[in-house]
Amino acid sequence: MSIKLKVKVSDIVRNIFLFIVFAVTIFPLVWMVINSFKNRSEIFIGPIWPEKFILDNYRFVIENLNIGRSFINTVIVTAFSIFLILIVSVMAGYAFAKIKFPGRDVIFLIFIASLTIPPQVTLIPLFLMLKEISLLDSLTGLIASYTGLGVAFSIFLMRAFFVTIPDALRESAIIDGASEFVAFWKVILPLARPGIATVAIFQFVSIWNEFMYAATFILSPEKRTLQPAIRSLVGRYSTDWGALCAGMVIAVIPILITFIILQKQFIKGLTAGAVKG
Amino acid sequence: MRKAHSLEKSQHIFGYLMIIPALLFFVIFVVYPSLDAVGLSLCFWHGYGERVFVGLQNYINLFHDPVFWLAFKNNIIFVIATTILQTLIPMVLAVMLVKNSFLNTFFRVSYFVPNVISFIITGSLWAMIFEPNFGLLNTILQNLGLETWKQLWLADPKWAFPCIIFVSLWQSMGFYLVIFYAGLQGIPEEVYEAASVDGADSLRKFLFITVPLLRPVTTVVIIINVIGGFKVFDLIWAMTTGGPNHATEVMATYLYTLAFGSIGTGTPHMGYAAAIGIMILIFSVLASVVQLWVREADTLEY
Repeated sequence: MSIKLKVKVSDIVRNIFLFIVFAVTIFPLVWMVINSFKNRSEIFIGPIWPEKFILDNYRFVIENLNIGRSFINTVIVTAFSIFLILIVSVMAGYAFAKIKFPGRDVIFLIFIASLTIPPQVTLIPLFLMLKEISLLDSLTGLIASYTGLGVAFSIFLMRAFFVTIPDALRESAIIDGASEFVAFWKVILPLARPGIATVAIFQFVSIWNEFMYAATFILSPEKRTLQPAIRSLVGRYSTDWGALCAGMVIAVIPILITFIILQKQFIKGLTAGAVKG
Repeated sequence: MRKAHSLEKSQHIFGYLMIIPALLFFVIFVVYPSLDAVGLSLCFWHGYGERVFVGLQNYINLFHDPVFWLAFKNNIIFVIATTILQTLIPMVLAVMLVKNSFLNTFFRVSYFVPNVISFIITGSLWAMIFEPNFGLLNTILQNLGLETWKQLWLADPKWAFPCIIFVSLWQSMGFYLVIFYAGLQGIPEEVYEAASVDGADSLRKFLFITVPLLRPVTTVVIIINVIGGFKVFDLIWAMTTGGPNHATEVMATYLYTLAFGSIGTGTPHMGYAAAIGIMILIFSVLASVVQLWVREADTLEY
């Protein structure tokens, strides 16, 4: 009896603790959403829960701060970058996993070694190079940079996925007279969908949220993506909290919605580099 | 025989064709800029005109730059603090949430949410929470009658760094939790049952079964933390831009300020900033080498 009671009490303490952690994790985000619907004076002196919810902040960031433009820029940059990364990394990942050619392992090792290079190292030279080839302050330059930045890790993930597909599938297709390309395109690629999803999700979150390259390589406000646009809303002395929160909600929503729909794939995709299998 | 040879050769060609697009992006946008960064770090250059080759002068100057040393020291503190917190706390939470119930899954997924939110948004949001006059934290303390606990938080050199470290934990806790959770799935239930038969309580099971058996996973978590800690930028940039008075300056924020922070107001120091980049790279590579070495040692043991 007393042992059972002890277990119950420890369970309650555990759940209370977990709930506090939950509150600290989620409440700041709820506060952000609530603030985005409050007017300025209510944010600063009113109660946490407002008397009425207003859309003024959203109207302001869309009409005056052109956040819609930044949103579209982000969609364009993210979509094209993921598309390019997927094409090149699926091809290369397949070659590194299944095709034998001289120098293969050395080249793969160089790709993997490059993962230790922090983006700060290439930041300045990339800035200078983009300037040289007139791709500074252009979405194309940003897309190309993101593709270059994402290629090595995506190849690593794709190769790890292709390795799990049995060699026999490709070999039997070749023996039946298929060319290498047909074996890849018709036989293996359809099986690679989960691996492709993992890479796509990882890159979606990375590129949608990327700040440093975006803030450095894009100079004109109308070409800005969301992260630098939001950063530009933070003034040193008088930040408009309502507008800032509305902008943040707009920037977070696409990613949060996809996360809620695809929880499992998301968590798998984002931790893929660290968790094997 | 000839057929086999030509098959092999066509396989080689196919292999090269498949990696060429990736190589192209990789060489242009990663390899070339990395080599150029090394070259640039050996020059004096202000962003225009000729680069002046000065050998290791930028690195020598770094050693005599008190702000760099401060940034370096802060960076080390950040790495140590975040690595300890972001390893221990997720590990304990993963153990608490290991059983597959509806509530546990709900908590695990909820804890993961901040991880999909950008550092810029995370940082700006928490900067509002820590804001001394209208921020959520001081408002709550005021309402709870804890006025004496109120602080300037990010504006106070004493508190700014602990605040940033806390936010880093807030953002990444769920991520490491999932990694530990996956690791825990690999520990067979029988090991715990045997320990229960021998009369071990939960604390002992945690210390003498879970912790040792999780070691390979813990190594991965520590390494990701260390590498991430050395290149931390966005979060600090969004919360304090390295202030107040360099109290939260780290290598990456110092690099960015030197190269791009003074646009329009002063002279950028591109070569000097590039040298800081190379320093971050060296620590990042060191951490990776240690990882390979530790993993090697781990596999030898079994």
